[in-house]
Amino acid sequence: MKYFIATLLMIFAALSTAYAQGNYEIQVYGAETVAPRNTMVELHSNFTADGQRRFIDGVAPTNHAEHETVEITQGVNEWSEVGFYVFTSERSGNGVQWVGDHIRPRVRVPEKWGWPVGVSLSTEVGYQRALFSPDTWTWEIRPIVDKQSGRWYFAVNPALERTWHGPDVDQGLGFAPAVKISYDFTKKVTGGLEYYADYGSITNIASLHD
Amino acid sequence: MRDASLAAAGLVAQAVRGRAQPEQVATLSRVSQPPAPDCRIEIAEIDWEIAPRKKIRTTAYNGQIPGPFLRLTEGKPVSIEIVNRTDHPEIVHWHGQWIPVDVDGSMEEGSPMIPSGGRTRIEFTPRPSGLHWYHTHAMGKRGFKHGLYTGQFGMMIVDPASNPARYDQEQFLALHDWEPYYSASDDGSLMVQYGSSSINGRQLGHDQPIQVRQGQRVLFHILNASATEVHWLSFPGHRFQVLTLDGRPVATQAKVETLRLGPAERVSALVTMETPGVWVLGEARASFRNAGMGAVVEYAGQSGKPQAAPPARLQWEYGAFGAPTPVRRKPDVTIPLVFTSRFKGHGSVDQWMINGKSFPETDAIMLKEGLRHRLVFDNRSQDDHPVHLHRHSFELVSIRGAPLSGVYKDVVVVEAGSVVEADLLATNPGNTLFHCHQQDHMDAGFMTLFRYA
Repeated sequence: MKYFIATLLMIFAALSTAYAQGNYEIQVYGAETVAPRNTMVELHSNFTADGQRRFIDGVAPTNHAEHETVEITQGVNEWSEVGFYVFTSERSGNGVQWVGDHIRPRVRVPEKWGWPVGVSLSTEVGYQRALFSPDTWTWEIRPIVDKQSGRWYFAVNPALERTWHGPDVDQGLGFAPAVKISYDFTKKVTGGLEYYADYGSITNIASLHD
Repeated sequence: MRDASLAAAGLVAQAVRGRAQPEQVATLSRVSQPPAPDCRIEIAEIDWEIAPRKKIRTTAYNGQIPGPFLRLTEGKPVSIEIVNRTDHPEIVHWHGQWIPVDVDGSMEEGSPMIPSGGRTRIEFTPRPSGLHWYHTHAMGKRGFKHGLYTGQFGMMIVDPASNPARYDQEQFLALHDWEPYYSASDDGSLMVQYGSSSINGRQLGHDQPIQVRQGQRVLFHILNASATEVHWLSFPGHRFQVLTLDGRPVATQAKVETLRLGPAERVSALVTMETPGVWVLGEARASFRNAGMGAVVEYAGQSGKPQAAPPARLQWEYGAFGAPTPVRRKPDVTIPLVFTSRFKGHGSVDQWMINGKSFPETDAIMLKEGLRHRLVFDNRSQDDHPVHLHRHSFELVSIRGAPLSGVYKDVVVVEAGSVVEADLLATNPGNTLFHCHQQDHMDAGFMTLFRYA
């Protein structure tokens, strides 16, 4: 029962703070990269139970929309990988719509350097159709620091975001940190908490309660 | 042609007991000069160049890697002085030798440590003959600065009185891995990986090539001195005729394309040079070969870039070297040894247990002198384990249920989920350590003591 509650905590923590984020793919990154010459394929699924119900500034409703994101990550060498995303949206009456693509190169401090924490740097750039996102071209740089010690795991991603084309283009760099803490109950069951935030422009940080 | 040193070992030689505490040597030297030792081993930190401009800070014997090569004679007593110039206690284990506890070099058995700045002198009578080695038996700890993560190892041949094998050239190859670090493993716990590898302390291409001539028979003595890694060796265009395993002659001298050596295992194999060229004798897997585990073999009159080619498959069966018709013997005593692990988190190494307990809480295994004990190695974990018994050899009698005889070992790789049976004749009284030779496993409890009743 304890494991179940812990797992639920992780899910609710993600959902309750994620609505302000992109609602296609959301995760706290660890420093580890995909092994060289290996390809990882992931499917991220989101369903918006209660979202925008009508067109606003040309952006389609999100209420009861199913978002499927295919993420393909290729390990390049022992310290780098490249991720590629295909975002889709499905909503009653509209069929499956292509939303956009992102590419995400990432490098890390090699494990063999023996640093006490894992350190990685990710950058992500991509396009979303204006029908689904008012900001069409966006860029993100995401430092990643993590640490696994025994059964405990901790990761922090103090990400900076920038809109290249869209209404937020004048806002400059935005600060969107994310944090994760988890505990290994067994080899296969881990429970934890993830926290996502968006404090807006770094020149005008929103208060914690905004 | 020369005679090789590969005859079956005799069992009649008696080891000589006796050693002196570090302080005693100093005191005695003022009273009467003891005879000079046959050899001297000095343990100290060094910067070792495994390749040009690539230096490793490590601890080694006599400032070299491997340590000084020792050629001993079976039954002829040898005296060795060991000086510890490090800042921590050390101990040297004489791996594969049937010698008394006080000189075996294992603090768990009762051999004394050599304190920092101290020295000791040991004497023993080498037996059995064959390819053996000596190495630190200190714990590895997490910083990778101790134990077999360092360069504290050397090769040793014990020559018997006579030998039927013939060869033109002898080569000694010691495999080792360097720059260890922890990494996530497939089974969810941390495992040790390495940044570089070497043969005889040099990365591939940075040592003198082994010069051969067509038609020569070269006897390779190979030791895996890695702290944790199993290694596969191949030699494109050539086959290894295995003569001994862990220094003991095998019943069938089978020819194989690849050799598998778990940590601490030794193989002596004859290769007939019949494919002229310039070749890489090295790790069959490109990842380790690219990290430096290889030696260049150059035929006379040949030149060019050394060629490496992966074998069609990695295959190794101890059974290939057993008697064609296995001899079944009935044991006097059967001893089950069940290997299991306990998960300690994705950020830790597993805790290892024998019969449900980790060292030093393990229950001692009682032996009766003169009896045949059947050891049943039951590996219920997801890792392979190169298990080693000090001061004795054992005969493999079954692997995964397939009967076997005529293969004597002091280290055997018990594959994950498998059962290996081995017969031990209890003929060398005293505490006897049994452990996994993977450094991180023995550090995490994979040890127990055998005691004589």
